[in-house]
Amino acid sequence: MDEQALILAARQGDLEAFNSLVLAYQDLVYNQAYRMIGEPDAAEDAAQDAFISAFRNLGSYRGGSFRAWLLRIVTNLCYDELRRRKRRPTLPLEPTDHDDEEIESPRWMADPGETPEGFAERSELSRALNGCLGGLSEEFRTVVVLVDLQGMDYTEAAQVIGAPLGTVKSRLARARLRLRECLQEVWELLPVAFRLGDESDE
Amino acid sequence: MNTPISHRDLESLSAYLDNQLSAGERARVEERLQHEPALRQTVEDLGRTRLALRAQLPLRAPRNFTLTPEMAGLRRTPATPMATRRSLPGAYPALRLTSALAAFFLVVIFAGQLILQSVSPGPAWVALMPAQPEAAQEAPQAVARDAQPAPVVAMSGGGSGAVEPAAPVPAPAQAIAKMAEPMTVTEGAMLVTPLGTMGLETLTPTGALQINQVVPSQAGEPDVAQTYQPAVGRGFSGWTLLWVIQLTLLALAVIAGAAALWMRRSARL
Repeated sequence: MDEQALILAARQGDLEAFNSLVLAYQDLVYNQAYRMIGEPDAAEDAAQDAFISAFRNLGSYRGGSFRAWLLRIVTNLCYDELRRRKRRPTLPLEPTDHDDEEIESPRWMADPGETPEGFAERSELSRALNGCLGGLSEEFRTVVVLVDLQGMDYTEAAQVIGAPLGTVKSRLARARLRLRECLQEVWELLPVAFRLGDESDE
Repeated sequence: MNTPISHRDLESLSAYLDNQLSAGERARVEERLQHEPALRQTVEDLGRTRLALRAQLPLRAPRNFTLTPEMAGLRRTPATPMATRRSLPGAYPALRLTSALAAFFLVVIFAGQLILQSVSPGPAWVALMPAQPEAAQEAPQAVARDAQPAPVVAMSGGGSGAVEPAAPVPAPAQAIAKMAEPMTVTEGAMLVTPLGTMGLETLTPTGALQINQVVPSQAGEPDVAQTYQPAVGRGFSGWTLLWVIQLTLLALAVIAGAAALWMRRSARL
C-alpha cells in the first residue's frame, strides 16, 4: 500500500495503516526531536507525542509532503519543550574544571586522550557538533537540522517551519557560520577529511 | 576567524554549496571566488561545516512509536467514568441536605425530651398524653350524665392549675360538653406534635386536664394521680412514638450521609 493510501485509510480511523506510517517515519521524527532537544528521553517523549498528535489531527493534513507535515508537528513540540525548559532550567550545558570554574571553550568536547581516528573520531565530532548545535537559537538549529542532518531541500524545510524560502536560505547561512565559529577551536582535532574538505563542486 | 563578508554574500555562498542558485547566480559566484580570497576562504569553511554535519549518521529510534487504541483515543480507558461523574452533582447536595436536616431534628427532639424529663420527672406527662383523649371524652359524658351543677371549670387554661372549688353554679350539661369538645381535639392533636411544644401544653393545666381532675373528684374519687395510672398501659404510648420518630430520623441521617459520602468518593476516582 502506498503512502497516500495509508494516509487515507488512517484518516478514516484505520490505526494499523497509521502505524505503518509510524514505522516508516519514526527514525526521521526521533532524529529531529533528538537534534532539537539534545536529550534522548525527552526526544522519545516528543516523538511519541508527535505521532499521537498527528493521528488526531490527520484531518488538517492537506496533502503535499507527509514527512514535512510530520516534522512540523514534532518541531513545534520541541519548541514547546525547549521553552518549558527555559522557564525551569535544570543543569547547565557547560562543564566545570577541577576548580568548579566554567569551561567556556568548546575544546572540552574533545577528549585529549583519544586518538582522532575511526569511530572515535566520528564520535568526537558528533559530541562537538551536538554541543555547537545546542548553542544555536531554536530557529537556526531547526533549519540546519532539517537541511544538513535530515537532508531536506529548501522547499521542504520551508514547509516545515512555515516560512518563505528566503528565510530558510538566510537562517541556514547564518547557522552554518556560527557553527563554523563554534567548531573553530576543535577543528584541528577533527578527522582530516573535515579539516581539509572542500566540496563546493557538489 | 573573522571574514569581512556581507550577509548577502554569505547566503549566496551557502546556497552555492547546496546547489540552490540559478545558473546565472552560480556563474557570478564562481567568478568572484576566483578573484576574492576572503570569499574562497569562507566557502571552504562553510563547506567543511556542512560536510561535518552531513557526516553524522542518522540515529535509530530507540523503540517503536506505534500507537495503541488508547493512545489514539479510539478506546476509552475504563478508569474514567465521566458519565458517572457528571450525574453525581444532582443527587449529592440533596442527600447531604437530607442527612443534615434529619440529624438536626433528631438532636432537637432528643434535647426536648431530656428537658421535659428534667422539668417534669416521673411518668405523669407521658401518661397524660395517651390518657387525655379518653379522659377528655369521659369528662363531658360524666358531666352530661349527671347534669348536675358543676363547679366552675377554668377552661382558659391559665393560672396555677389548681382546681378552684367554686360555689356550685348551675350550668347546662350541653354547654360544658361544648366547651370540653375543642379541648379534646386539641389534646389529641398534641400527641403527634413535637414534644417540645406538646410537653409545655400538656404540663400547663388545661381545661381538659381540669375537667379530668374535677370530674373524678365530683364523683368522689379521692386521688387525681390514680386517674392517670391506668392510662399508661392502656392507650398509645408517647414514648413509642418518640422512639419511632427518633429512630427514623437517625436512620435517615445515617443512610443519606453514607450515600453522599460514597458519591463523593466515587467522583474522585
